[in-house]
Amino acid sequence: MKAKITAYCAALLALLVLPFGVLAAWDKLLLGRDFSQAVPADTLSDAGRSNVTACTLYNCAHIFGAPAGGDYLTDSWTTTEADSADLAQLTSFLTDLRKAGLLDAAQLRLCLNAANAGPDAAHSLTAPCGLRGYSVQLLRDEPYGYDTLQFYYLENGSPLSLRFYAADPQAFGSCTPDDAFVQTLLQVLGLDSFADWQPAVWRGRAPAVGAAAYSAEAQLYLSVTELDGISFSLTSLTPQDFAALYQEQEVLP
Amino acid sequence: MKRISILLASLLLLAGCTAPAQSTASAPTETAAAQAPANAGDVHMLTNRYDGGQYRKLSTPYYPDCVRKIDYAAATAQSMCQISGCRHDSESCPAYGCDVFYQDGDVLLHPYRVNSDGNPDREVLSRYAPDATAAPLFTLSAHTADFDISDGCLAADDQYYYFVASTVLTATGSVSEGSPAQIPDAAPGEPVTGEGDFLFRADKSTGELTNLADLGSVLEDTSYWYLATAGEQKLYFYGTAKSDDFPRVSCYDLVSQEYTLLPEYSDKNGFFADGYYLKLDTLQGTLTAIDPITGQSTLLTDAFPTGEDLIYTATAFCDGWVLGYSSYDGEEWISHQFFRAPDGTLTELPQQMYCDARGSQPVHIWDIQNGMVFLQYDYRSDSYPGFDYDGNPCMWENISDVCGIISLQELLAGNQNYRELTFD
Repeated sequence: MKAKITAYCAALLALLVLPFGVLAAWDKLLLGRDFSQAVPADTLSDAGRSNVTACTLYNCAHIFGAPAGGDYLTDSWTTTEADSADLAQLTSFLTDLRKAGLLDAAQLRLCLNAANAGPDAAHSLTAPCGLRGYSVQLLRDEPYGYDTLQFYYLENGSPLSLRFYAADPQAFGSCTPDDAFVQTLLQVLGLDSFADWQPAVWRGRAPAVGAAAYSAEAQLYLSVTELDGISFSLTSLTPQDFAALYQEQEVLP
Repeated sequence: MKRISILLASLLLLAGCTAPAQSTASAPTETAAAQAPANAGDVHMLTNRYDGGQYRKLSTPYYPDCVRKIDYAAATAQSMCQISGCRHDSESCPAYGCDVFYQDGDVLLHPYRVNSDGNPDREVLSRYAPDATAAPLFTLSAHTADFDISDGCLAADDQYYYFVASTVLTATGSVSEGSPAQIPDAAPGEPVTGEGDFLFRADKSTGELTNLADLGSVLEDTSYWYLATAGEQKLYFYGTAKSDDFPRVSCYDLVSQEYTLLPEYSDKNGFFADGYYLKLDTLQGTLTAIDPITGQSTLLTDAFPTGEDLIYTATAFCDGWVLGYSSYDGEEWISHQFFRAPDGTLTELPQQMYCDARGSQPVHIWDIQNGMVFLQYDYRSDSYPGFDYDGNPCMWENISDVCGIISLQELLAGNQNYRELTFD
């Protein structure tokens, strides 16, 4: 009888312990194997993730679902009174463009004149992800029309886009956006650390008057144009979307 | 609102044909519309239709696109440019810059955009050549200003084509009778002597171009003039005085070469469509079509709802008329559409289509010919990647028409089993 009880206890104990052993062995087996997990093709590279501009725009596009385009989080902007801190960022960036030779003295003067139009003509913008903006519409008498200035940047000061449409484009003149202009602009934007920037054919709704470049590592597309002034903009774009974009323009039914 | 009606009527001109009207006076038999002139040498309108289909530029998901040959029996829409990869945006495209083709016997004609100097408003008439070597009937001098041929408005007799073009004439460069097959327009700095809409005649064999009349000369301060209809030896036009918004009708007699305004057609409740002067009376609920060539008047309906804010529409097709009325209920326009058979029977067409921007509206009938109906019965939304003004990548949304074929019998029965057009 005693032997029977001992046997039952041993069996019960074995039943209780055995699963732990099996699971431990299973864990050892699984942990010992080399699982190669495919990285999704549209995942931002390590270098991209360590760059605040590339990473923020990637998050805007993929996490917040913002459509590609120059306004980023289109429906999420909050308009506030013109903030002197935003104006200071804009002024600093325009000065950087001038120092880099991307604007001449007259162009800088026109941009600064619009930027300092005063609170009645300007307002600030904020959006999630630490996006900020400064927008100006300055009415000109001769020729009658608006100087329009829009500047978007990140809270850390990194510029994302600048648009200046001059009421008198002829007075503004040409900034000759070409591949050299793009390279210099990438330096000003602090994005020249990505080694894979490649020139892209500029496409817009108007005849070609611009230049463009793409970095797969940063998943950033930079477009520059001199339509009615000067505009540049960064857009987060996966390599697949970049390829599809140009393919769509070429392949006709 | 009248302007909208006139615009609609102008657009519908492309869809319709010169359907005969049932005269209230003589009650003639209504038959399929005759495309050929009654007598050899009589002038007649050319249309975009052929027996069994028509040529039309459709709103398609394909961008860019060009004029297509629509075959009703096969329910196909074949591109008139078969050049692989062609963007239809240069003179190398055989269908560049035109929205419509005209059938003149075995010859296909179309306005052909000539913009080698960058001016987008210079057109000539050209014979269609599928191998992309378009054959213009005439040429424009290098410094010719705009020469914009009105769409949907081309007439012909045995020897000539007649059309309206907006252009600029000068003292030394004016187009006069007997001028060579070229418009010697203004040299830079030369004073302008005329600007507006002119009736031109192009010789079918030599291309010789002749300016027959300044269409604005019969009415001061007019806007645009269109070729409305043609018959026997007369060409009829409608234009609008800027001081009001209802059309005026004028006539050019090819025999006497006189150009006159026809005051009997100056009615604020009238508009011109498909070769007919249409008089509507929304207080009486009547819609009447008058053929200016024969003078015959046809009461299309006297049973429409009445009210000052109602809009009546009418389009003539080979197999009968499509009539409609619209009313505003305070939030949206409610439209009803009817088919009027040659015997005068009205049948309401209940088929509707919907899109967010326009709400529900009746299907858009483009043609009814030999018992076949060509129509737009739905909208399709496609998004595609592209670039915005500044060159930034963005997604564009393209709303295109879904077009197809249904038999008239089934349409009248209220059915919706359309055969969607296939594209190639």
